Amino acid sequence: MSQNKHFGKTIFRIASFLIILYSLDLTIGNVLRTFYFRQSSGALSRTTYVMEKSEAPGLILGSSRASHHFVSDSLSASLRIPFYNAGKDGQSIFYHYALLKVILKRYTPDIIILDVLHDELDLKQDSYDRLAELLPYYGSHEELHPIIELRGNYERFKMLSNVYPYNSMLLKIGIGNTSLNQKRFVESNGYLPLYGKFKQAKNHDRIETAVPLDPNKVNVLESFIRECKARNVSLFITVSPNENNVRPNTSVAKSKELAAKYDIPFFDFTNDTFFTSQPKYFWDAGHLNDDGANILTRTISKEINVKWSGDDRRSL
Amino acid sequence: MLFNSFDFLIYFPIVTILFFLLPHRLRWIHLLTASYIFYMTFLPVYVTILLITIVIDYFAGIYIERSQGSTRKFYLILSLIGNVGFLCFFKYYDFFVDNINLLLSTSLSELKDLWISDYIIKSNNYINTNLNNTLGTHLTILKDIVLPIGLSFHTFQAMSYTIEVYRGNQKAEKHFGIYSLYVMFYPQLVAGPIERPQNILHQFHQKQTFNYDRLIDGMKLILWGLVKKIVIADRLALYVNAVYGNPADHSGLTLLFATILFSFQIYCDFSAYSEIAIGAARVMGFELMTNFKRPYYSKSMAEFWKRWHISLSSWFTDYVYIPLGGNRVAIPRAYLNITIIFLLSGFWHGANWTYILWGAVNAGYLIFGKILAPYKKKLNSAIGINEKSSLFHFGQILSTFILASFAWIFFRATSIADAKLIIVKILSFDGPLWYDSPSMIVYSLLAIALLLASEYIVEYDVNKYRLFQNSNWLVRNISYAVAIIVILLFGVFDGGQFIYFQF
Repeated sequence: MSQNKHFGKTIFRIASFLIILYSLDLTIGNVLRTFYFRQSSGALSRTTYVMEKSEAPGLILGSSRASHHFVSDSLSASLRIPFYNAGKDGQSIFYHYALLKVILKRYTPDIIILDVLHDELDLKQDSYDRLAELLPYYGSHEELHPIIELRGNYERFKMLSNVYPYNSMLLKIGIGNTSLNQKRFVESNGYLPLYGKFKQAKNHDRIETAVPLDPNKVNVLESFIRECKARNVSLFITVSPNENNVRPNTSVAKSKELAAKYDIPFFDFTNDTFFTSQPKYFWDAGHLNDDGANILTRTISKEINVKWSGDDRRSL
Repeated sequence: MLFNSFDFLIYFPIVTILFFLLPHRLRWIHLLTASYIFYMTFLPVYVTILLITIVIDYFAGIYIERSQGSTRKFYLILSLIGNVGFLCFFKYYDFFVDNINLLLSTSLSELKDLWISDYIIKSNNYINTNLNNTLGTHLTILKDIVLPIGLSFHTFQAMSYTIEVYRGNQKAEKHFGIYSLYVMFYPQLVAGPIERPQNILHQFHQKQTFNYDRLIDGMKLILWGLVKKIVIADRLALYVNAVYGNPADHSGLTLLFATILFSFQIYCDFSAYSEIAIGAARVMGFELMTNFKRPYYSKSMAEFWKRWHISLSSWFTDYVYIPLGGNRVAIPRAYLNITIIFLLSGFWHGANWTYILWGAVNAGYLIFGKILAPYKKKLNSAIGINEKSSLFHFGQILSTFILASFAWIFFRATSIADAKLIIVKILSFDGPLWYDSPSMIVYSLLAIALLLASEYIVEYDVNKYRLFQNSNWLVRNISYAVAIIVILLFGVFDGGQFIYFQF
């Protein structure tokens, strides 16, 4: 009898604790959600804008190189449709594909420029870790689940918490709710210009270790291309320039191969001599400055103007 | 299986519930099986090494007890050779070979070039491929030979058993399963605390009953261990790894900041493992020894070493320092004894000159501390410094932290050349402070503040702020829930394994 009483007391205590935990998680999680989606500036609010609001018929997707290399307004003027640059620091094809899935649920863009890295398809843990930036959208976008769950078998269980989606974001959410970001960064339709010139000496001898291709990334890039084809979105894949010479690698070759397979225009500026010979167009070894970005954008828009014609230009 | 993984979060309650549901006579089988599974989630093939040393030490213990005189010593030496042999082969072989090749211009083969490495790799890959294909596991396919996980820990624990039997302080364990459990007990198998047979062996014979208070005590330790690992250590690691991975590209100020962060990172990483191990064992009714006692509140390096990795320090004291004569010998010999144990301790951590130098620096601290102690006392009294004042104590704590942090540079640097570069750059104290994003700095500082505040409360017994031990039930439960929320909100879930696993 007393053992039953003891057992009952233990169960009661554990249940009470779980209620306290659930209440705290729910309350703090909801406060964070409110402030997350209330942000008016900063990297996080740009993701929300692309996912929930943007209706631009022209989209630029890619990593930080996309966000700093493609001048949206210049593309809009040249191709005569509004463009939005949705490039995101440190992100990989997983993130770009996730964005595409969400966008396609809402509307169909006319044209997408996908800027891939020269090592885009390489196996890197960081590409999976960085998908954490999509967690706040997990609950409201079912189409994101397969991508986010690439992070691990237990991700869906972690997502039972209301707080976990905002892991390590508290400070960014706080700043995003102030005007600090607007003072710190210049932004024009998603394009983030970098001002200044790269001063560091060129390192021609940089040796990159061989990394195997990530089969998940290869599959996702192929799915990306197929979805664009299926929805009649004109897709252009680019690899923007580097200050250093990059040796031919399997990632670029595979991206090129997939593009060719689906008849997608592929512009490879990896070792374009115009850029590699002029460090004044760079901000650092991997990023063009505003001058360099304007030149690259003009060059690419000319190429697109040539390739993108006839029935493809539905919106014109 | 890492303590900070979701796998462990599922594995631990299942093992514990089954432990209490099973009759006492079957529990050792259950715990031993659980320990084997736990170890085999890393690299199954290496369980063979454990099995061989277990068999050697089990029989060595029995024969030592039965024998007299030199035969007794013979069995002890045989057991020690068996244990140290595996350790030397896997951990120190390349170190010795590389240094011999360098000194004598020979070209002795490294471990990876020996036939046995090829055999181990092939066996591992055969087993793991089959397990991965049939069970859907993700066991590692090896390209190169790696050190068996936790080898230094379970080797030292096994050695302490035969030494204690030899000394007559412990009866030889006749039950092979219980002895295996002494070596294999999963909470402390791969990173300690390094237990003594007198403390733990008898506990495996005793019948443990479920106790709610012990459950809560153990869970509190596990929860705090997870906070230390996931919220503090892995957060600080983000900065430390980025800077120490490329010291040439960073300023003196950045390297200084990274060094301070590493001091806290290594403490939180390692003590977290110990706390989770102690907590997990306690839930099942087993008491493991305390391994850390807030070392950064030490007032001298001598005190620091009484609070840091206590199970290893006391192991070296009991089995090396005291047999060498300890401090009951002539002063120069006592200093030599200190140097020997610290060099050995450095070498225990890793087969690299950086670890040996780290040991040497710590030995230097202790020796100079002893030499200078009377002069310091005279100087303080001559200039009227009150040695009991809070300010003086704070100065002692701060200077001890600076000395420990300086030594950690050798521990963390990948080579002596890197350590030298880091020290030179730190002394130049040039800026600016590097950071990837402001949040990197803010979260790191908050993590350290959380650690220092929580340890201050325990160190100075500020009971009213003890949240986990608060007398109010609601406050206690809210504090547990807040700790979980802190993990979910600030934890680094992509963090790696515990640093001490490599030892």
